[in-house]
Amino acid sequence: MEALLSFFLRQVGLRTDAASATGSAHAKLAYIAANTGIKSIQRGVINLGTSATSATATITSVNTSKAMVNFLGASSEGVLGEFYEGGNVKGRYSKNGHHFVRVALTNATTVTVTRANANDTTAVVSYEVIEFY
Amino acid sequence: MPYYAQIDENGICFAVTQTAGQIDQADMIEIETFDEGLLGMKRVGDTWETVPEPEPSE
Repeated sequence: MEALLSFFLRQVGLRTDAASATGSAHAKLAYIAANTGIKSIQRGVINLGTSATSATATITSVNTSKAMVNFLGASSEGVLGEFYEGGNVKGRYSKNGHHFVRVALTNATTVTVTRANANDTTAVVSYEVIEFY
Repeated sequence: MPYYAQIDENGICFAVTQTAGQIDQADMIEIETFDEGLLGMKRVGDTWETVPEPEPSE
């Protein structure tokens, strides 16, 4: 009986056990609590100028294998373009600069936003980089 | 966590970032708040100036 109690004590451990990946159940829980979850969040906005199809911003270094980037949306004022026929304006259309914007964590310290066409319009792209333990 | 306005070679702010720590880089200007209004503004000395918007091309 005493041997059995000793065995369980070793397996469960004490609340004061130091965090360890190979220790008692208490030690493993402390290890999980200390080594999972969010390490840092960085947020930003990047402005794409009227002729820019890509731009980069610098962030504090993250471990790219443990980090993700979230696209939080983009906004653009837009301008009117015009169709011409025979030298005359035939119609107008809306030119917008935030369609199909992409955001990428290029490397440990760089976020890159890209779009296919500038369309003479600026676009502001919002993002966040979340790094995990 | 610190905030930075990042400027291009002409001093124009093209990014505002809340980072996880300090960044010591010439094109990163530390600012007090996450101020998106700085986008497109020009850094002149220790101040920010509004830059007239260019006319859209035909």
